[in-house]
Amino acid sequence: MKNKKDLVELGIEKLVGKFGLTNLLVSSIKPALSTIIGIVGGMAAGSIVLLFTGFDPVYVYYTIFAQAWGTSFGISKMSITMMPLLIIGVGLLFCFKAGTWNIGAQGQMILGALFANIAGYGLGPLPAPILIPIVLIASVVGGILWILPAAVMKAKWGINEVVTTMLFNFLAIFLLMYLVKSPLRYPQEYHPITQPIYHSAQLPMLPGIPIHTGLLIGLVLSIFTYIFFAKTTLGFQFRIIGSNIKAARYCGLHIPYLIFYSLTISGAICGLAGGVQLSGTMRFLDPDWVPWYGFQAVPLVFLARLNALALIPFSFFFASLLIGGDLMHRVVGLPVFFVDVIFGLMLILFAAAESIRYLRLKKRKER
Amino acid sequence: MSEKEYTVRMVGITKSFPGVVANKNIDFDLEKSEIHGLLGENGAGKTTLMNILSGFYQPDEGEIYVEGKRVKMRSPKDALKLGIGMVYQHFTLVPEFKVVENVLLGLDVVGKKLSLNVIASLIEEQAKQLGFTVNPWSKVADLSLGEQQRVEILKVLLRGAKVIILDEPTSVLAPVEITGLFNVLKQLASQGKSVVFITHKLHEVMEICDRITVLRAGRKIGTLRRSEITSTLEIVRMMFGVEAEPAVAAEVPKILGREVLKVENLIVQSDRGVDAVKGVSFSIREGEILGLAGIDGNGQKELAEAISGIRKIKSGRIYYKGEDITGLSSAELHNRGITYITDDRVSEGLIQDFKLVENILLKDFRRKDVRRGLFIDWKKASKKAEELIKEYELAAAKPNSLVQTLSGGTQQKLLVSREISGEASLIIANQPTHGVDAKTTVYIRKKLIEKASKGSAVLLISNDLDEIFSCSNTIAVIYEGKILGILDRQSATREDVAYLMIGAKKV
Amino acid sequence: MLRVATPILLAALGECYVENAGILNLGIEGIMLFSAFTSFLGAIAVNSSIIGLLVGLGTGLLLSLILAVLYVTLKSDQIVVGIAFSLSAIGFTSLYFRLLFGTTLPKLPVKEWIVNIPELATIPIIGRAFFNQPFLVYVSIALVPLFYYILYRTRFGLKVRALGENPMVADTAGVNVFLYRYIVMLIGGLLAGLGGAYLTLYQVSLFQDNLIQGRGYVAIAIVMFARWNPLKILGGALLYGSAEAFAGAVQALGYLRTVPAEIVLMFPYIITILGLVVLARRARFPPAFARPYRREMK
Repeated sequence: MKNKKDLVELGIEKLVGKFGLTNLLVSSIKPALSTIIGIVGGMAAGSIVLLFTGFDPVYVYYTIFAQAWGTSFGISKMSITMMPLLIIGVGLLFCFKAGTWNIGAQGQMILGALFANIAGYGLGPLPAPILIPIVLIASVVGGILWILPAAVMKAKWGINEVVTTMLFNFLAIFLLMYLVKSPLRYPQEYHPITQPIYHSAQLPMLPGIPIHTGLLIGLVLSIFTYIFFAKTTLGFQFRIIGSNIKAARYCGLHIPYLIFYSLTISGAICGLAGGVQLSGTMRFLDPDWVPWYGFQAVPLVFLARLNALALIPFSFFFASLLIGGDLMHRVVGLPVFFVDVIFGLMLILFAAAESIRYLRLKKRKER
Repeated sequence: MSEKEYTVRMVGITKSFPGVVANKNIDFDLEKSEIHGLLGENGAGKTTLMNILSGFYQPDEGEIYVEGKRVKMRSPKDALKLGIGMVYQHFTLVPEFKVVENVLLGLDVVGKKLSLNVIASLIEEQAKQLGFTVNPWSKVADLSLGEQQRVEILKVLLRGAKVIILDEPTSVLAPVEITGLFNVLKQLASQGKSVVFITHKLHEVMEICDRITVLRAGRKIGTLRRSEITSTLEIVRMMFGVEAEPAVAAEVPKILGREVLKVENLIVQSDRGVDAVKGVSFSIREGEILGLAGIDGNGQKELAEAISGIRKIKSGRIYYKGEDITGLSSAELHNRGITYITDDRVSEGLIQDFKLVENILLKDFRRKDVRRGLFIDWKKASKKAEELIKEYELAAAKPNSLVQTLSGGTQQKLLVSREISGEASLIIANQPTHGVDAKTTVYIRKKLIEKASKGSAVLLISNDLDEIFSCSNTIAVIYEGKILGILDRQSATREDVAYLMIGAKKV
Repeated sequence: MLRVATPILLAALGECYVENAGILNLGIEGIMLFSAFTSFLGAIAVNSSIIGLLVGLGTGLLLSLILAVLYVTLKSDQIVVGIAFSLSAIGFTSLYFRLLFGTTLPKLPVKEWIVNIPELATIPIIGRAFFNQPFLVYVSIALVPLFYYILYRTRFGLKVRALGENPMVADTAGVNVFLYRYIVMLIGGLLAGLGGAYLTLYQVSLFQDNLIQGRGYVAIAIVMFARWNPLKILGGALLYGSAEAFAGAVQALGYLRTVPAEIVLMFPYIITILGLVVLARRARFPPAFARPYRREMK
């Protein structure tokens, strides 16, 4: 196995070496391999799971994709499912690239949606061009608020942000339950929900094409983030602390500030995702809303190798799996959770592949 | 002496690592009840040789005999079973644990399972035999470095060592503690044990060793009995290969005059909390290259980090171009024209996963010529990178190459060129040609001299005498955190410097 | 209150050893969840809660072994793998739960092995609390001094702590870093498995999606602010337990009608966070925390 890989690499290097592209190609093929292994492996592992359960993997996978891409229902839902994944993916990417881990996307989304909701009906029926931005900004504020304690705890005292942001998720879920059932309850409905936002606060679909404005926001964010990391001074600094803290110190970077900002910006974007969801599809909140996008986006970001532009196709892929999974459930009878299982497996296999790659790289260096 | 009377005999030991031959065909022997000094510069191969003896490394060639029998040791554990133990330079004690716990950790693994109380009494007894006391129940972190070192020695003894190797043991000790250590060593020898004492400090060796072996550049130069030594000059020559003055050194520029850096009574602590720089004062003028000679570990790194703002200063002042800059951050100092070339290019100076052009901007990304507002102008940066590549002849490098694909020499050139290609008025170069091939070495030195001739001040920290002599106007020697002498290059001889580097006084 | 603290206590004790050896296992939440599920299945299948516990225990061992391979041998990033694992646990368990049971919830067997000391149990208020509990509660409390003793006073514990402080030292002293890290992971898995199983079988008597509700992370937080000391962990677990029990009581009994149930449910988490802020600030993390061990030649 080892020799085969070496041969292939040698072959590629020889072919490509003449055009001086060796460096570029080799360095981009090998990392992508981990992603491929992650995805393919994850789906393969999923098949094994299916076999154990008595389902036919080929049939299941086929149905998933056929439903997602083949039905009009699937296509129409694509936009709506992609947008939170993409936006949260961007939010997570922001801090992951700086080596900080914001696992609280779920909570930040909830808070963002809450704030957006309140802004959406509390200010009176202002015209759309004014109200929509206000609503979105409110959601950003909500997100920032929710990550602020964890960001401070990490930057100042080094308290592990994974644990803190995770705990805040649960707090958010309960907070939502409480708020919807009492203070914010919309009296005109029997079931507990919040007051819906005004029509003018709603993010619409684009006319003609089945693309939602929210998705557009996501695309813009993704491009913006890519530029941020590729071209700005701040983005560069984030990358440095994410790569090598020792070197960061040597270069005189302000490490606590950078940690704080990376987490805060991440929280802001995840809050925005909540606002987009609320304003774009939900219009109001119910007490049992638990946005799993916050976690589903984690494998997404890693498989995309922390590349902001790659998030777009990958979120498309993940959204397809989610929609397809939901529809497939009605056809085949396999619960949708299967998709979550695949997501998790993909990430684990990706991590394993990365580790092996790293170990082999080290072995090669020692030679 | 016949084979059997040696405790240890190493014959024809050769050991190579990628790119360097650390030990070349070395013979070394050890007698009972002796303290044997192993002397040599950095990189001479002393530690490697002893690592082989203590089982940490395996030799490529050669044999080892213990008590006349040929042995093969595959790990430190094997060596311990044969009675050979090493006390490393960086202590292998867990600071949080108590003394007994640390010793237990060591014993347990060699197969001796004893209770803490038993160990405690063993510790006390062994210590008494060697003439000192130690409280077995105290936490290691609470002990002084000298006490910690004695605990290390106890650990090794209790594991059954009859041969004890100490690697640069006095580098962390205060003078008082050194005397204590020497007493312990003398006791050990009188009890029939053999001690190997690795060091670069001549006066210590002269004080306590029965025999001395000198290594240089991986080879053994000779072994002498202390009683046979007539003058220390002999030893110095063996260590440094010092002959008459070498051929004409490179053209060293004239000093221009204005003071750029002034350091006053600087005291800086190392990571261990001990003073690494103990009251250093000197100054450097425009166009001057001050070569700071010294063997690694005498405070150079801490000094460099302090001046460049990375490390906090305990006391003292630093003046730059007349201004007091004590306590300013490294980013601030970098902006003002002070740049520091680290000796650690792999994990500190460069980010291996980044591209070449990105590494160039690691410190300079805020500069106006590569920045447009909040954005980095990669095009301009790439151009800069290309210029740099051309000017400094970086082989097989493109702006977008990943640094880890570049050879060690190229990486070092990159690091150096990054720091000196700007408008720095003060360049602190810490071992700039470390681990680099001959051609690149010459090149880097040439460039540094060029910078000086254009008006920069250079603090060249190096453990290589050739380098010091071929590049400096003024030479200072650092030893144990102090500057022992500041000499003018024209009048200084390599011998003078060599003496100072090992703390010796001229006989 | 003791009952409620037990699963957290078990998980935290296990994680305590794991972290002392320098590993941060975020997969604890996942292990607890998986074990809860399998023990649920086991208990129903055989109609015995003891068997269920054992099944949960076994699951914990198996899963921690897999994680150990990823953490120790492959040296993957502990944070990424841990989270990925916990997330897939939610997916897996919910998936199979749905598949196997649809919407009908089977009945759990009677809780076995509940300790009952009649005379003492009749003391009002504390009687029931202290003397009428499932055996596991007593076991877990007994584990605390045992674990403390092992960690701080035995050879084994010393080696474990050495791994977290300075694995290189331990390695040169001849301690097999990899072996010991595997062992602590297994211990952690065993306890987390028990914790999860206990939660399902004895405490809430059912299984639900995402049953664990973050208790695994709470356990991690407790280990951190208890500074890796089993005695303090007991304190932390009890603190959390009282918060959760209090919340439960409020819900069930309708005390304090003015304070809404959901807010009360937040208490346990808030307390945990506060605990972190107050106590973990100057926490001295073991130097080798969350860093895979790589043997580097000098």
